[in-house]
Amino acid sequence: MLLSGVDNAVIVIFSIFIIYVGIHFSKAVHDMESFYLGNRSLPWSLTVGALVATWYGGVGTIGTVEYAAMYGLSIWLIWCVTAHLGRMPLALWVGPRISIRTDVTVPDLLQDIYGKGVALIGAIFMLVYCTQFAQITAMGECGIAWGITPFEAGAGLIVLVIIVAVCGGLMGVAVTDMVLFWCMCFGLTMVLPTQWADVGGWAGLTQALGKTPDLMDPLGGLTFMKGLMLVVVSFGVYADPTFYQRFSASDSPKSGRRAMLSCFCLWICFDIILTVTGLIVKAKYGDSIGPGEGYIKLVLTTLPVGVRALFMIGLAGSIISALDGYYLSGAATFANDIYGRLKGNVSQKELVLITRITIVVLAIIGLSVAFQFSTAQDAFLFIASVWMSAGFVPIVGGLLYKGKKTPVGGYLSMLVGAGVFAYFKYYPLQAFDLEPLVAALPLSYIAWMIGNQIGKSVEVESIREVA
Amino acid sequence: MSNQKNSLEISWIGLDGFLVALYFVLVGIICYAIFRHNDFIIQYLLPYGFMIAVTGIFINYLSLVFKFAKTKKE
Repeated sequence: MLLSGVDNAVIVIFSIFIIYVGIHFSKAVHDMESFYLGNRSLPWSLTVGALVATWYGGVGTIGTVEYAAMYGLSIWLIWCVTAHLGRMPLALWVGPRISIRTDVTVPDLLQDIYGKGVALIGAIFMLVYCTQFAQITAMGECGIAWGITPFEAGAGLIVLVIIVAVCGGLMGVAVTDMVLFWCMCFGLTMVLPTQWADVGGWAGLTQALGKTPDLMDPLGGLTFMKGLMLVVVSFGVYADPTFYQRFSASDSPKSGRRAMLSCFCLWICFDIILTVTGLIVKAKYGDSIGPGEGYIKLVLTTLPVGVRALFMIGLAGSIISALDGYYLSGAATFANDIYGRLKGNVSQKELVLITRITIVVLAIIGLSVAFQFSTAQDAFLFIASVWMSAGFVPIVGGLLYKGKKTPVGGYLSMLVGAGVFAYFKYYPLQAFDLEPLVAALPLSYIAWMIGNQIGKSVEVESIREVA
Repeated sequence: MSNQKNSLEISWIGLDGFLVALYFVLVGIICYAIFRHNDFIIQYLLPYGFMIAVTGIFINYLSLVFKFAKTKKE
């Protein structure tokens, strides 16, 4: 075990605080809007905390360290810089437009644009995406700190996740997110100054990684296809349910936009901090240990007692925040968009109950799949690719394209995208390296364009009906 | 309606523009540190600057909570 009794005592006290917050906010939950959108009252600082904590999670932290140890500095320059740059339009134009819409979830949006059937299929894909088992894979890496198995670490984590999300809804999640945001950013960053000095700065790092010079090349390390795939996946945030939820929960579109622009500045700094930490892990341990486990070991064997607890809280906290956010979105999707649409005429009380039950089910599914993948980032790329293949084109196209959009367009883009992804995933091309998602997106787009020429527009029909 | 429109407008010569510009400035500083192998930026400027920024945001949130609690009491 790498943690002392004092460290564990600090972690237990903190866990009790998290449980208290969850239970405290459960009293304020009366309907779906207060449970899912926190009554649309999140100020700038709380939106920043919630966005950073939810999006980074275990994949953004441990996953980035793992990938930096495998692919080097190019992870930051090719992936991170491009990814945030590509998200600027989301913060400036798309997000504020979404926050003034009355749709509560992504399937609500799909129903308004393409009709009930497409919304139902979209809800099923989104539910799968929201299992976010990659976060639990990341927590498994932390098991080394207590000398327990990855599964045991994952199981312990989801108990906390369930308590916060089931009891407190978004307000409980957002408030704990804020504390966890600080712990995560502070705890994971404070190790860098000492480690950087210890490894001997750039000169020491270059020497230690002499056998793998590509890792120190900001434009090398990644193959073209891998780089392209990472950049494409980073655009997945345009179809990310937790983003729409957080943005809609901010107290105004302006506040949401500024929160997200602030996040870009924080993320680009945090990314380089995690990237160079990954390189330090590689320099110190080489291939003798997995980079995720190496990261935990590196930090816990160098930080003083008590401070190590802050690091672990930050790390586990980032995973809790992310899972809470996704489970909340996934469960609300099931309650509103699958159960609610199929049954019809469901009371607010029943919706909240179904959402809470679904959170528990999602957590159990996530735990049972999480350890089928070797790294958290690989697990994330798989689940994100499945969701993007099916959902990216109809959602983003639906929001940005002003022309005619029909149910056939929605169905075709989803089915073609998911079908092409599944085909190339299980029957990869032998002639050259092709990531399934890179093939699925353009074909989904073509299918969407063709489908939109067939049938009537749902939006036009609903306007006619109202008139 | 005009409130909503006002809320959607981007203030390029204001906080929105500043935050967009700040992103590019930060990318420039980090690129400089990578390509010129500058230890000071990686070891001190970035980690301490980042920790101060997130602490500032956290304090901003706490001050809102205290202000809200005080108003409620009154």
